[in-house]
Order: sequence, then structure tokens, then C-alpha cells
Amino acid sequence: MGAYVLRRILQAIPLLVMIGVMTFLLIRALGNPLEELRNDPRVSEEEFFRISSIRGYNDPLPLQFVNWVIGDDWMLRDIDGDGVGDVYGENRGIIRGDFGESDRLNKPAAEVIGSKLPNTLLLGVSAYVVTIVFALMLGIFTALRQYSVLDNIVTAVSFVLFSMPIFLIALLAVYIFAVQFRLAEITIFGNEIQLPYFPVQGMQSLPGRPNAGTLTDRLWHMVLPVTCLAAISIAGYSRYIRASMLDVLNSDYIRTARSKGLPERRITFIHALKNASLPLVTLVGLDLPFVLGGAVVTEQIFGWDGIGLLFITSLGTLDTDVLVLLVLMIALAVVIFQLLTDLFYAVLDPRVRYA
Amino acid sequence: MATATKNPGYVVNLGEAKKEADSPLKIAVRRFFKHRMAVTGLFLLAFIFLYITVGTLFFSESYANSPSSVRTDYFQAPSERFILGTDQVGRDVLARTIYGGQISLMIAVTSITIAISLGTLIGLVSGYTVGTRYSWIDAILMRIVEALLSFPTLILLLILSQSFARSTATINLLGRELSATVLAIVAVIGLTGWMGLSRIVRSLVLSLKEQEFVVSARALGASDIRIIFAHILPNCIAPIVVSATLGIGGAILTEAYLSFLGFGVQQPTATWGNILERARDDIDRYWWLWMAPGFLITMTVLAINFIGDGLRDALDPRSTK
Repeated sequence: MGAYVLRRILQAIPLLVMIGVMTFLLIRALGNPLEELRNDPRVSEEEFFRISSIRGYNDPLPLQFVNWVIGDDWMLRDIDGDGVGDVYGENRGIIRGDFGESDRLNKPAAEVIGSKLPNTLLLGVSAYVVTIVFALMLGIFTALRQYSVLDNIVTAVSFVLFSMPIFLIALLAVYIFAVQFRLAEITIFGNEIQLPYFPVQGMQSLPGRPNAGTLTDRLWHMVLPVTCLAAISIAGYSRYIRASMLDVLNSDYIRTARSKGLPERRITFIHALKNASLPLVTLVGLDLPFVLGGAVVTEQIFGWDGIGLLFITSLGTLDTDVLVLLVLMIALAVVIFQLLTDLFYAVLDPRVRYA
Repeated sequence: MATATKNPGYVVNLGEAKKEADSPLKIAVRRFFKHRMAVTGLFLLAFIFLYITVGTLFFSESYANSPSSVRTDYFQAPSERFILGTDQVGRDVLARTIYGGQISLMIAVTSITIAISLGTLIGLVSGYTVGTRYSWIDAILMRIVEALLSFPTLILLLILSQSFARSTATINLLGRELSATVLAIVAVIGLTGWMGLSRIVRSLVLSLKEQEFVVSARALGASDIRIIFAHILPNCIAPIVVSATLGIGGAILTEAYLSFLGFGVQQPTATWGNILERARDDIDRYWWLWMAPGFLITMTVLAINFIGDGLRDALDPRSTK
């Protein structure tokens, strides 16, 4: 086992190097992020050259990459355009924990991403938990009642949800539960009732409102985005669980369990579910790290101040250091989770050998 | 689940040996048309095709793409004059969904053609070089695939689209004036959609190339190229067809996501995605801007998923239906 883990970690290293090179070149190739400054009348040509030079954007791409990795505080930078180095660089490089600066916010890139990460995790992990719980319930239920009316309805609905772009679900949800519910006035037994409607924007009420920032206020703001994110994944996951449950339920050892006279409930939830959830472990392990990337579209629609929104803003202003770190963080998480999934699977399934 | 003991359908029982066996293609076609969902999908898709072709008889493309000169036409809710309402510059949404559908489908089909060709080629080369002295080719290709799969697809697509996101260049395609971003989006989707298929094809090649028919072809002196394209490739067709079909549905969604976020095909060329670009900011007021294109996108992708599902069942030799 130890040798297997070590070998897998060693195998991941060239992959990580490749991911690093690809990410950096892909994003730096988009051009000089400071190009906007050229249109600013307050910034002279010399000033522009000086800033670009200090940030390293005047160097050829391969040198930029080297400096990004090992830093540029060892080389003299030419800041007045005479071809002679004048001052040492300021970047210490990623191997010394310096992930660069955000050009937009003048803050370390790691700090910018770190400040948005909790928001994205809150949204993504909640949606993921909701997904797993509902998908398990639906998947098991439809597998036990294969081809029943309810199974067919669930199948049809998941096909439709699966084919929907998430923004359509989000827009529909907002339109129905926020806009129409707010307008609707329902009369029951002569009493006019205002339907409860959900907030559309942000993670909490604006400061100054009576309950702004309280736990209930925050939860209330999470309802719509979490539901929209979960709806689409539930569609896929429940189908998957249904298929693997059906597979297991038709196997010999389940028949043996039945012939022993075990209660059906015990067979379903202990004997069958245990084996049927093995493939689910793989699916979760491969999908979960992508939560870090935030839900770009959902965060955009609901004004959720997370990684997805940060990504779109940074891409619009070409905030390269933030972009590189962001993509690198996700890719690293993917590689680590892949490794963990394989190890976890080897522990769970005695048939897997560490060959 | 089909088990090995069941008759796979194309194996002729000794009792009926006199009857001629149907070709695998004929069996697949018959199975496909028995698949209720697949036939529903075909009908839905036929309806969409009618919508985007017959619709052009009623509206011209310049009518769909040029802003209205009258300010009162802006943001009109559906009425008798504009059945699906108008957008932010008074263009008829009905006409735009017709021409936008053509562009969306064209983008999806061409980009998936690129992705499928790339994925198949890389999978074939990669699988075939395993165990030969060229196995370093396989090692490099598969590391690239792994690296690319570690990036979230949408984020990769957005980065690639960033450089031309505000381009206003136009191109002339088959006599139509289109935004040059159409070509860029085709390239971007095509270049990011091949990794999954290349892995499937690679694993198929690995098992196929050890089988007797390939070994005997090699013994007869067939060249590597001939073995790959005449003997191995035809046996990989089923998964390629299925993932091409499902890929087209995925590409329609991808185009819509990119356009929705403002990184897709640029105005005035319409696509189903960029009609609802403005919906992002004004969800509560202009519902007609996103309902029609959203519905069309969902219906098309649903139809394609149905057909893909039917094809998967029909082409599976283990299936007994």
C-alpha cells in the first residue's frame, strides 16, 4: 500500500508540471494585462514601460514562466528603457509561496482568492449535500419500483432537467418564486395572504435592513441558488444510482439474502446500497473538486460573491496572477481528489489490487 | 443486464440457419425505430428543423439582425405584431430565434465534427502505439488528456474565448454576413471537446489490436495505416456515433453558456445563446427574452439526448431488444 501511494504521488508530479505550464502560457498569452493603461492620459509612455517592466510583462513568455516559478528578485530589471538593468524584481516566485499580485486590487492574488473561497464553498458544498441526499432517495426508490408510473415520471423529469441550461432553471426559478410570488396575492377564507418570496440578489440582505446578516437571512438567500445547482446534478446522479442499484439488486447474493429470509429493508439499505454506492464514491471524488471553480453561471445570476464571479471579473480585466492561481488551485484539487478517490476505492473494494 | 449466455440477436440459431441473417446495420436501424424515446426525439428534432428553415420564408436575415429605427419598438412584450416580443434594440425575437437556431446548430455540428475527428485520431494513435517502441507518443498524449481534463471545461472555454470576446470583425460564409466570432467559437468548442472520446477509443483499440482478425491482418502484411483505418476504426464506430450525437447536444448548451456570459458569438449575429444575453441583467422585466430561446435550447438538447440514448441501445451488440 505504501509503495502504491508513493508511486501514485510520483506519477502526479509530471502531470502537475504540465498543468502549471499550460495554465500559465494559456493565460499570459492573452496579452499585456496593463494594456488598458495606455488609454489613460495620466500614464505617460515611460511610466507605462516602467510598470510593465517591473511586473515582468515585457519579458518573453518562457522567461516570464521561469520568473513566475522561481521569482525575479535575482535579476535586474530595466525600468527606463536604456537596456541596462536598474532595480531588482519584487516577485519571489511560487516555489517560495509568492503567487503574485492582483493588478486590479493591488493585493496578493492568494489573498483575493482566499477571501472569495468560503462563499463558493458554502454554496457549492450545500448544493452538493442536497444533491447526494435527494439523488440517493430518488435513485433507490426508482430502482425498487422499476418501470412504475413514478419511475417513468422521474426518468422524464431528469431527462428534461439534464437537457436544460442551468441559467434557464435559474431564470425560471427567479421568475416564479421571486417575481410572481411577490406580485401574487392569494385570498384564503377571506384573508389576503402575501406569498413568501425569495431574494434574488446577493448572499444577505443589504446592510441596514432589520435582519441583515442573521443566520435565517443568509439561509433564505441560499434557497434559490442551491436549489438550481442541485436540480441539475440530482437529475444525473439519481439516474446513476438507479442504474447501479438495479445492477446490484439483480445479483446472486441479494437472492441469497432474500432466501435466508432477511427483511427487505435490511437487504435494500445494508446489503445492496453498500455495494451500489461504490461507483458513487468515484463520481463524488471526481466531481467534488470542481466545486472550487464555483458555479460561474449561477453565481453570476444570483450575484453570489464567490470564485465564479471573481473568475469572470478577473477575466474581463485580465488580472493574470489571480486567473493563473485560480485555475491552478482547481486543477491541483482535481489531481489530489483523483488520487484520494483511487486510494479510498482500494480500501473499500477488496477486489482492487494495488498493482 | 445482458448476460453472455443470451443470444445476442445477430447470431443465427442452428434451427433457423436457412434464413439469412440480417446485417448488423439493419438490426441497429430496426432497434432504433422500436425505441420509443428515440423516435420521439426524431420528431422533436424534425419540428426544430422545420422551425428554422420554413421560418426563413417569413423573415429575412437583415430584418432579424438590424435594430429598429423606432424607439418605441424596444423591449416590446409579445403582441400581435411581434409574436415573441422584441429585444433591447427592437429586433423581432421570433425572427432572431429562427436565424439564431441555424447558427447555434451549425456551430454545434461543425465543432463536434472537429472534436470527434481529433478525439478519434488521438485515441487511435495513442492506443495503437502502446507496447511498441513508439509508446512514448501514447504517454505524452495521455498526459495531455489528463492535464486538460483537470481544468473545468467552462473555465477553459472562457479563457480561450476571452481574446476575441469583443471582436466586431465579420466574415462572409455561404453568402451570409456573420460575426467572425462564430468561427472562433467553433474552434474553441472543437478543441476542448475531444478528450473523453480519445480515452474511449484508446481503450477500445487496446483490446481490438490483440484480437485474431487484427493479428491475421498483420500476418498477411497489412500496413499499420491499413490496420488502423480498415480493421480497427470500423469496430470503434458505435461509441463514436453515440458520443458525436450527445456531443452536439452538449455543444449547443456550451454555446449558450458562453453567449449568456458575454463571451460567445457577438451581436448582431443571432444565436439561441446571445438572444438571452440581456436577460442576465433584467430577469424580472423581460421574460420573453429568455423563455423562447431557453425553451428551444432545452427542446433541441432533449431531442438529441433521446436520439443518443436510442443509438446507444441500438448499437450495443449485447442488447437483446
